[in-house]
Amino acid sequence: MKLKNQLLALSALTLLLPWSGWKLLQQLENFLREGEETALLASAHGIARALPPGDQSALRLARGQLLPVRQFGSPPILDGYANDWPEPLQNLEFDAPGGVLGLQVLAGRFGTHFYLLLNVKDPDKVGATDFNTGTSDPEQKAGVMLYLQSKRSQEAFMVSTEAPGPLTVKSRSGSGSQLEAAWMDNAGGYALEVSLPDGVERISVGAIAPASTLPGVGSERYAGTLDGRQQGRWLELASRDNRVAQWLAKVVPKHTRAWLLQADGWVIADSGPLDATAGSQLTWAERMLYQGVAGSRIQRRQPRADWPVRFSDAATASALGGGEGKQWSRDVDNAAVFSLVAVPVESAGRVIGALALEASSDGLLVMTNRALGRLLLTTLALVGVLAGGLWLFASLLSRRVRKLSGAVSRAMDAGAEAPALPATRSGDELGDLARNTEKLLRAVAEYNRYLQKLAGRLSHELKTPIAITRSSLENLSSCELDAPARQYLARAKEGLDRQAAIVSAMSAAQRLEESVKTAEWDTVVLDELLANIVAGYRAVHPDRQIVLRLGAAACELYCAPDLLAQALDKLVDNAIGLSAPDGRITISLGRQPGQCLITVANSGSKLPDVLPERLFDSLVSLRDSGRDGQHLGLGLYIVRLVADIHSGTVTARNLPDEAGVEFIIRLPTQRSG
Amino acid sequence: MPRSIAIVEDEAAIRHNYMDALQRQKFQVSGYADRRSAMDAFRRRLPDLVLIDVGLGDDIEGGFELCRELRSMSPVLPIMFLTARDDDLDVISGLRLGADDYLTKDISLPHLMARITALFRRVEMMSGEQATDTWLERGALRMSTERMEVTWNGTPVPLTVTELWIVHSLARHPGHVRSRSQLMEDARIFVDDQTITSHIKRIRRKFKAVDESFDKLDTVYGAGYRWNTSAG
Repeated sequence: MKLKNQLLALSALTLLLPWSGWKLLQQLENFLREGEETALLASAHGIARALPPGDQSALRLARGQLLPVRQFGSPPILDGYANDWPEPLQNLEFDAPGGVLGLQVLAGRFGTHFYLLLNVKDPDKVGATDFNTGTSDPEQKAGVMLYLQSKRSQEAFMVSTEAPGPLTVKSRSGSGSQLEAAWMDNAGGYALEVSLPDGVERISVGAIAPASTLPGVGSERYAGTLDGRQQGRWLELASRDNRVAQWLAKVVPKHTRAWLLQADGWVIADSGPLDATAGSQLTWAERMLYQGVAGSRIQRRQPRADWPVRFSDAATASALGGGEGKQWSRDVDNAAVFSLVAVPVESAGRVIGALALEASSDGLLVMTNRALGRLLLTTLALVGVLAGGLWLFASLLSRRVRKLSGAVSRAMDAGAEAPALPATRSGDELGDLARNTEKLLRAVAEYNRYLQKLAGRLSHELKTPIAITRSSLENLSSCELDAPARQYLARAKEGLDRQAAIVSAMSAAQRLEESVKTAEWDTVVLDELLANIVAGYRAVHPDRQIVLRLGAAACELYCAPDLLAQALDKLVDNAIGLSAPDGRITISLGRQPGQCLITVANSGSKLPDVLPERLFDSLVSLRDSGRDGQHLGLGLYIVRLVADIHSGTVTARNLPDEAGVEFIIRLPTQRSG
Repeated sequence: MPRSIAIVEDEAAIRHNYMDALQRQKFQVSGYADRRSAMDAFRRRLPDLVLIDVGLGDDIEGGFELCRELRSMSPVLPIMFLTARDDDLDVISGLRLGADDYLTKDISLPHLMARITALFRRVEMMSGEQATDTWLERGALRMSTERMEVTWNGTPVPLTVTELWIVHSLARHPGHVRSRSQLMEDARIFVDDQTITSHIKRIRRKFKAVDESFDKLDTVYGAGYRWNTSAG
């Protein structure tokens, strides 16, 4: 992976910033919530303690003695149906032991009139009405026994009928008061809707059913507060206390709703619903954001009626048990968050009820969101800046490194020329590297130059001794010598010739470079040139297979034909020397956009294991030293020099499938400079 | 009268070897190791031919200096340069200074003899002594190897011995391509291809100086050179 991508990946670490910010924010939100909670609790405690003692009367009722009374908006229709009753689900339940009979009691009020909705569940499917038609003894009838107590009197009513429908029940005490009722049979038993006379303060009610055929139940069944058919416990009819409610509404903090609960969780007083999140300052999106921060840790809010009748939350339960209750809930629909706290109401050291406060926490949301927004912006900006900075720095660094490496590889290609590396003046590690590499390359270049000159200098120095030897031997040959001496002389001359040839080859390179400068340049059609040259080769080597392939279009080039011919001489010489006598040598001329290609290929040989660039250096010989040692490896050097002077290149490669080797000279048709 | 040859060469072994060889050929030879002693002798009496080594002792250009001085003393004195150096530049400088030939020291003695003899023969010809002429004529070209003379359209072309032998080799086989090695052999030199190329270049230049439209010398790239036989 490139340096800058590596650093970019590293800079992903900076994402820790927003992550930690997020975590911090969650903590902050926690603290804020706790703060709110604490404040709310304090309010609740304060209100609970400040509850006017006179208003605690309803609270003093022991458990199980309260029958909460709902408020009707309009008088209910006495039909036995619960659909015109508010909050029909929260009712008092009484069960007979063994579950053989059940009674549910709902009480309601409109103005001064009280109503009861009684639901009797009879697992024995014998309908009470059917039973009642069978007996004539009024004391044996099945139905509901109702005792009412008002300030003035106590009445008893037995509500039973032989057929469903509206009925009027007279008091058993013979006082003449009566009540209206409606009986309706239903699947589980029957329902009874009763309208009570005015002034009733408490009741005792029970359902009575005949002995059933269920195993183990041999006698009459009772469910309710009665004791048999007699009045048992009393249930207080407790309406909502408006005074307390008004007082609560006054003392409760803004955006908070308060309920005063009785020991069973029934609502005694209600400060009233909150006005719909007045001018909510938050958009839905912001709420969702908040939920993202805190959401999963806040449970969903249970749907609550507009006027709850009874609280059975864990919070209120713990408050009624004497402790404190706290609960946070969120409303999924409008993303509002609510905080519910409940504190016990005590009198004389005893818990007689609870006070529940519920606040919606828009303020909390606003604060959190503001903090969140700011945090996000800041951290994102920081991350951006950091990552950007790192990436820029890495780009810079990798650019410097790339420049350096490019310069080094160019310097290596240039060989003997002095390298000029960038970044040699900077003080950091890259600068050190550049300086050291420059030193190294300079040393290499010097050494190369030295080597190149060595051959020339050596040959130059050797010429004089060789001349001495030769002239001496030649003088010697004109003297009187016997046969052995002549033989020695002949061998000496042979040796000298070889030395002279080596020296000549060594100095050839240097002379070549100069002759390259003085070569003649001309615009030449390469096709003709090659044709002539190849004809010459064929004349010199009639027994070899030399093939010339010309391209379709003629190649015209401004070049030094002598030099090209020389270069080709060398290549073909190599080809002939290194391939088998029946091997084929192919010379081809090709045209590519902007360049002419001359290719010399021969079969049956392979390039030596030398770096491709070194092949074309002087004194690198392709031939193994088995043959006569006069090949000093200058041929390819000459070819490269010729290619260079034409601003072209020469490359060598092994042909696929061991088919041989191929040398390609590329000559641009447009010479640069 | 035997010809006198002077050799100016600082390397004693070579000098003595050459002197011995020349003496065997019945020449009268005198050897000098440095420029000053040579000039002193030449001021007293000029030899018939001078062989100069370019690098004389510490004086790098000593040989060229000597040549210049000699030429100022005698425009027709045959001067040959012998040197270990074979840079083209030196060759040009040497020949520009008026030397008649420029040879490398690894020339074999028989070849050296041949050239010296040829030079002498030319001097004899120029001084008017008649001898059997074998002229070679190719179009506007007229040359004689005995007289060491070349004329183009009647105008003499001043070629050195080497160049003359090259032209002779080409003109003897007009229309045939003579490879560099063949030309080398005929010119009795053993040099690199580049040197032949520069000789050819010089020959062309000299002919062109006489006749702008000279085009008889063809380069057959890759094969060698050829004396053009086309009309004109």
